[in-house]
Amino acid sequence: MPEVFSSATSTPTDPVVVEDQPVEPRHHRNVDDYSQVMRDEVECTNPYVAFGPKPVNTSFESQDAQEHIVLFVRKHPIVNVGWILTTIVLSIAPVFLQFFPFLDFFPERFQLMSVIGWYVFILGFVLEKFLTWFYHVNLLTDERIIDIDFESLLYKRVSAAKIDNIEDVTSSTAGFLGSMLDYGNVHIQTAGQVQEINFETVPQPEKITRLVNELLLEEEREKLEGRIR
Amino acid sequence: MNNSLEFFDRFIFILSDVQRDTTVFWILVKYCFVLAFFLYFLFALLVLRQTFLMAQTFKTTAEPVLKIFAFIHLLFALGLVVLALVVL
Repeated sequence: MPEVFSSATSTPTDPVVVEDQPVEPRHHRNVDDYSQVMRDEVECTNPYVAFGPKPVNTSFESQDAQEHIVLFVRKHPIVNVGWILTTIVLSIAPVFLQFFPFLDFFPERFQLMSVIGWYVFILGFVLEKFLTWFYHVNLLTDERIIDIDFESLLYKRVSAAKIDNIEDVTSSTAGFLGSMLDYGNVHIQTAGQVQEINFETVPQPEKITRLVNELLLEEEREKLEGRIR
Repeated sequence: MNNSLEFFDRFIFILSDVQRDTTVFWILVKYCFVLAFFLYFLFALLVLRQTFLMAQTFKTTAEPVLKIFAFIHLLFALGLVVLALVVL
C-alpha cells in the first residue's frame, strides 16, 4: 500500500478534556414563562411610548448584569396636551404684534431681537417640557421597581425597591379622561427604606398592578426553589 | 414666501444700519438684552448637561436625538447672545 494511504500521523487525536466548570445557576426565568400580562405583549422598540413592555436596547444606570427590564412606563401622552397647546399659542403670539403694537416704542432692531429671542425661548420651553416627560420614568425589572423622578431640570430623584419588599399594590383610575383613555395611578407600598413608590398618570394601571403581583409571586417561587441570588 | 423675503430684507437692513440711536439709554437697554440672552445661554447649558446626565441614568435609543436637540438649542442660545451684541 502506498505510503500516502498509511499515514503515520493518523493516530487518533486525544479527546479534548473539558474540565468541569461550575455552571452558573439560572436565577431567573424568562418573564414570558411566568407572566400572563407580558406573554400577551410584544417587545417594545420605540423609546418614545408611555407603556413599553420588554423594551429592546434599554437599560439604566444601576442595572445588574442579570437584571432585565420587564416594563417601563411614563406619564400618559395626554399630559403633554397642555404644554403643546401653550406652545402653539406662544408661537402665534408675535403675529398679534401687528394688531397690538406694544413693542413700537422700541427701535426696530430691538423689536427684531425680541421676536427672535421669543422663538428661541419657545424652543427651550418645548425641550424642557419634553425632557421632563421623557425622563420621568418608572421601571419594573425582574428584581426591582425603580422610580426615576425628573420633575424639572433642577430636581432629579432615583428611588428603588426590591420586589420582595413590596407589601401592597393599589391602582386607581379617576375622572372622565382617565376612564376613557385608561390611565391612572399605581401606589406600591414597600417594607424597605423607600416606603412608597407611585406611578402617576400611567397608562393601563390595572395591567401594571397585575404584573407587579406576578413578579411578586415569581419572587416567592424563586425563594422556595432556592433560585435566589 | 414674500413675507419671509421681506423679513430677510428687513433683517439685512437692520444689520447694515449704521445710523443707530446710540444714546446711553439704548446702550443700557442693549446690555439688558445681552444679559437676558446670556442667562438664557446658561439655561441652555444646563439643559444640555441634564440631557447628558439623564441619558446615563436611563439609556434608550432616543439618546442621540435628544442630545442633538439639546446641542442645537445651545447653539441657538449662543447665537442669540452674539446676534444681540452685533445687531443692537
